[in-house]
Amino acid sequence: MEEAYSGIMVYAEAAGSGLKCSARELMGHAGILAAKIQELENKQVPVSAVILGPQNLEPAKTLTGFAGRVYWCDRKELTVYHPGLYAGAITGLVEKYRPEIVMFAAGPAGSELAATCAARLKTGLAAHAVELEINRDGHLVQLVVSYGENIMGEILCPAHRPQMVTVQSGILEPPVSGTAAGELIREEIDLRDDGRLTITAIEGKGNEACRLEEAEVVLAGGYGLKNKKNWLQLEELADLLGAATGCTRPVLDEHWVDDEDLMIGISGKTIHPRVYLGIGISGSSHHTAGIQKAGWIIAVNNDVQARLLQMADLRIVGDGPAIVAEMIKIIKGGNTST
Amino acid sequence: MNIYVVVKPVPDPKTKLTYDPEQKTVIRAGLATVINPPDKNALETGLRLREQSGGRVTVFSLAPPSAGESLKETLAMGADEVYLVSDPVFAGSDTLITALILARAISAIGVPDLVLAGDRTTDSGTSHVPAQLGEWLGLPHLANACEIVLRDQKNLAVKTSLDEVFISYRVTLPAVVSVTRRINRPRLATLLEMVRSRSKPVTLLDAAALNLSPEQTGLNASPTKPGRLLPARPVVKEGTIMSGTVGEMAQEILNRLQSLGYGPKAGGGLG
Ligand SMILES: Cc1cc2nc3c(=O)[nH]c(=O)nc-3n(C[C@H](O)[C@H](O)[C@H](O)COP(=O)(O)OP(=O)(O)OC[C@H]3O[C@@H](n4cnc5c(N)ncnc54)[C@H](O)[C@@H]3O)c2cc1C
Ligand SMILES: Nc1ncnc2c1ncn2[C@@H]1O[C@H](COP(=O)(O)O)[C@@H](O)[C@H]1O
Repeated sequence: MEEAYSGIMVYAEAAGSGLKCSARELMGHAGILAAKIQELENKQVPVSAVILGPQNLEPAKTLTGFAGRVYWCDRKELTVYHPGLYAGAITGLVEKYRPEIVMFAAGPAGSELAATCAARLKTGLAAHAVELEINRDGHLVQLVVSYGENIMGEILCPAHRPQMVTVQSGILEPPVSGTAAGELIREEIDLRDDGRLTITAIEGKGNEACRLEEAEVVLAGGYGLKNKKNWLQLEELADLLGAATGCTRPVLDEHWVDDEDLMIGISGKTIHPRVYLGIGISGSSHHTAGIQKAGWIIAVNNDVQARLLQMADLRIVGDGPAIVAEMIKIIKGGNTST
Repeated sequence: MNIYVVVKPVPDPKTKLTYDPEQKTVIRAGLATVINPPDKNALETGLRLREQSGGRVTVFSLAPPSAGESLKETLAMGADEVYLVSDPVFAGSDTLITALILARAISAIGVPDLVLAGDRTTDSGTSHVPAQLGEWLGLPHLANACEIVLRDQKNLAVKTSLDEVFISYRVTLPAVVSVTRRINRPRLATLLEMVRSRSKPVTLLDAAALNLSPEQTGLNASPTKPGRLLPARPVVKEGTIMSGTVGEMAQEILNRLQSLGYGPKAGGGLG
């Protein structure tokens, strides 16, 4: 069975006239895995990319730098994300080209698509992998952050093909440009639309939604802030510093804030600020998976043992809420001329 | 409108966990559980649609029998009926098989107009189950809904939240939709409702009731298999440790920000 499947296929998401960062990162992962399988099994392991939607050639062309083959489908019906049609297109290409591994970026659309394709193909899918390996049998080993106290779990898909995975972004530095001279193949996919799902509107979230991902300074608060009043103080401080605010899951659970786009981590945003300042955050792997690319890490925690302190360049052992209030006081005191 | 809500009891965040070295999963039996938070938003969505158009709201949950108690909260919130889908042979099912079992349970009771789910669980957190449930049922499905409006008896308007955009769809019922926490604020059950719900029944559906053989479910039937569990080690940095008075610590952070080029400026902006 396994013989019939070979190569790695990446679903690459486009963004305007380019590619999403996560798409380039996936291509990087695919290249590394392909090299490993190649070495182990002494066979050619082609890397291919699938791109759906864009009418312009640019994103597909960029992909040819990273992949042996780029399957590009510019059908009008795929211009905007339509879960059923997108899954149909990808499933069709998987059945046609039979890759042994299929990779998606672990965003909201990627997760839904991957789950739908895996169900149609009746194969296994691991979610939010933070590390990918090839074991001695040539199988993909997907490392995911498990439930509980900073435990990683391996997930394998030994007897079904393709092996499917959604990959957490922000783990690999995305390759800027590739040197492959891939073939661009325009795919005429048979899209069967039963008409039960139609797109009625698209609305940008505006700059607010991307603020966290693009911010140079992120001020993140956790459960150690203790209450909503202290959270609001943190927001005030972020304003004064011109920083974006981010949070951990308990902050949402406690309803100190309701905007899910503020959560950093495996189930939230991956950020890459120059400075990340985390206050009252323990540093669970679910959260820290989202800050791998942060430059400077400053952590404030009253527990010397806190994991986030271990990861920090500057470790402040003290009371978070009091320090936040004090910083506000200092800034305001020193800035009376505003 | 006939509405089903799929709900998962998840470990109470306040309790310690133990692992099963054989199955390599969290031992769920006997663990204190709460309803997965976004599933309450799904239930709230269902309850509001019922208020608007009449009908019934039925809860389905695939969980160990011990979770029955925490499911009563859904009755207290206003659900009409609860099915606990439970059998020892279901243990170790991955998302594909979990979705299969839920689909069987739903088909056994009768496919409704709408199946609602949360967007992800706090324990496994894959977001796979709703889409895969939709696939097994052969129904159209949408994820990450932040707004749901009933257009007419056959159509739902659904606004979904992706990374950078909201996309709205019209979907023909029956359908499966998962909701984010943004969609509403779930009601709190009153103490009286909690007490009353204790005497209400939770109906059990086991493998036999669903015509599922042991080979079709559980770890063996699941395409994905857990491997080793490994400790996650943080990238330990050679950081400077600092403690002192609150004033000193606050100043130290501001100094550090300043030295990195991010001092507070008049008007609050950064350079
Ligand atoms: C599948 C899954 C996905 C998840 N995804 C995410 C995700 O994307 N993002 C996320 O954030 N979480 C996620 N979680 C939850 C995650 O596991 C942790 O529970 C969460 O990150 C902990 O948040 P916290 O650090 O704010 O809270 P806690 O772990 O409770 O830590 C609070 C910290 O505050 C400190 N503290 C207490 N009082 C003070 C004080 N006065 N001053 C200073 N410090 C103080 C404490 O010492 C402690 O270190 C996920 C969990 C699962 C199972
Ligand atoms: N065992 C289960 N029983 C009932 N519903 C479930 C179960 N597992 C997942 N779900 C539903 O699917 C959603 C997403 O779950 P997950 O794929 O685990 O992130 C949850 O919010 C629930 O609504």
